[in-house]
Amino acid sequence: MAKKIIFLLSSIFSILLFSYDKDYILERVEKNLSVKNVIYRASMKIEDDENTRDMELLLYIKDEKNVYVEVISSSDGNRSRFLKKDNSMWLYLTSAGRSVLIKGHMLKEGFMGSSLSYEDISENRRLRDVYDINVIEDEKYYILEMKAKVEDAPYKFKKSYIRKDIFLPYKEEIYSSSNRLLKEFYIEDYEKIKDVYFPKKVVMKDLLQKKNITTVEYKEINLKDKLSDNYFTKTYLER
Amino acid sequence: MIFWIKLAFKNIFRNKQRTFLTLLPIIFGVTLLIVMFSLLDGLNRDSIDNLINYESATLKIVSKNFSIYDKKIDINRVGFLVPDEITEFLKNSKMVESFTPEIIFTGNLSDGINRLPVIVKGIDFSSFKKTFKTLEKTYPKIDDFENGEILIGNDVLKYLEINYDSTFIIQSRTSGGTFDAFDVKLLGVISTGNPNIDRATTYVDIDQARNFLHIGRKVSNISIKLKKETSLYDFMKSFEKVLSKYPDLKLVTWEDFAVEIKAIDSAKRYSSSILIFVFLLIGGVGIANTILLSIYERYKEIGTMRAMGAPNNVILKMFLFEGATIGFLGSFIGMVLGGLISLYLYKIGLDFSSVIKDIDIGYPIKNIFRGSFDIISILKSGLFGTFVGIIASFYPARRAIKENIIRILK
Repeated sequence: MAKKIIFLLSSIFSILLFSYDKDYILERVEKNLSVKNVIYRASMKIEDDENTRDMELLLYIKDEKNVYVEVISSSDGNRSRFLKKDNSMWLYLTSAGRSVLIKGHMLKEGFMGSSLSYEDISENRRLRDVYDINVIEDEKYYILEMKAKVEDAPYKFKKSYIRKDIFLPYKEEIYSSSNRLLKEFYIEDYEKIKDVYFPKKVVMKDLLQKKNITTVEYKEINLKDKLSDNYFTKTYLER
Repeated sequence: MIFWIKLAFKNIFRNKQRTFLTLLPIIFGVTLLIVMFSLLDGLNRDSIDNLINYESATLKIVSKNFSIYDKKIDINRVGFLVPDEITEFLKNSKMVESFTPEIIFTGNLSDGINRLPVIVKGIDFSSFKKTFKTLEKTYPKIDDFENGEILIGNDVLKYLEINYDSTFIIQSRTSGGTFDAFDVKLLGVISTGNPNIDRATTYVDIDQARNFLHIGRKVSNISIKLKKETSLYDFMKSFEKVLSKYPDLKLVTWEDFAVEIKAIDSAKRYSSSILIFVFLLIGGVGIANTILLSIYERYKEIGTMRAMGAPNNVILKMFLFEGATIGFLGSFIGMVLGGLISLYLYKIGLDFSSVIKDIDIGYPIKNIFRGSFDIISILKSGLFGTFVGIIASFYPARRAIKENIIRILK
């Protein structure tokens, strides 16, 4: 009997100690997903059945409302620049020598032709504000099942597989309302810098096509104390 | 008159080879004129038929935000609820043959291997069938159209690797902007000959489109087919009173949709006219040259006639009739040739499908170009050739009467 009681108590204790409640998990994930004051140098590869495009990117991220991306070089000669300032997004077209505001249907287009839409980048809301989230757990991951609860949610239904060790996603699956898998995102590797985990390699697959893969590899990650506001201005974009 | 014609025939056939060579550019010019305008008339007619039968109907009720030039179809901007009063009016109007609601949005059609951008139209099978001819052009023939099924343009199919009865995925955004998709089973293929339909359009059930977009009872437009004998403007006038109560709605007619067709048609007519004018100018110069040579050859003859008291207008008339006869002969042969070719174009047409492929030629036609056969136009072209002959022979004939008689007879 005593053994049974000890076993029961130790089970309750271990649940209390090692298992987290839904809000705690979401809080950690949302916190870890937001990176601040970082400069990346990355390469992006966009592959489909007919073409492969490579580009080198320079990214300045002050917070989720201040993002600047510049294409340093690309196999198709594209040297666009992109600025996200508050809730507005601007694309500077070097060929045209002017910047355009990304709005309406343009938000649904792929960022620099990739599987990632401008809308994916512009999303500032907390996951809990957009989705009804159910958390389930397996050996390796917390699986967040997210169902859109607002009319303008980016996706109808998605699943995020959160690594238990670092509270960051390993994989995200986008489903249709009829439960068909449409897109997959993998974050294959993370690098820890000053106690913050940064993704090293992200792979995005559009499953509506046989081969449509976007791979982003972060080659240099510089974590700064503070990034100057000058990078996040239209003047800098159009320089 | 008969005398002058007989004389002209006699004179122009004094030198058969020269006359034959003079006739050639006139024959060619008139044939080209008839064929070119037959083809342009036919293209114009078939384009408008294709537009009305498969795209615009006779007219549409749309939101005031709708623009025919807007390529991105935003249901939030152009969607509207159809007022009951308008539905009742259309049902009771004696001028209306049928009307049907449409929901139009853009999306991607995928077979899991390829993804193609398409226009998705949500339709109500029975009323759509009465208003448009699209559903008469399906393979296999279909009697009904249900939720979960899709009809696609035959040119869309060639980019996809699927069999009949396969399942497709349509991916788009809901009215709220959410990325979503739905599965549909291929019911059939549509082949209308209208590239706008065959190359990029798919049809699903209207309720499926509504459910996917989350737009309730909203529609993109109401397409209206008027009875044959009804004038578009009579209907618009009768509808004006009802429509004026709904300032957010407006009417667009097939003529509004045909603006581009008309612009391309007039540009092509203009450029063809220049080409034909050049040919007829060459023909006219040829006639002038032939008459001039004929005058030089018959200098003594003309001098004798004038010395014997033939008035100037007789000499003038003689050469003008010669020019007119060459013009008429060339035009007549051109009319016969052009008429025969036009008849062929009208009855059988030219199949350009292998040449056009996916090229946008501006007309909503992609396979067979048919001409028109209009006797009046053919006769007009013939008269034009004769007129060119008269004008071209005027200058040389004037020279014949201006020359000094004594110098001619020396």
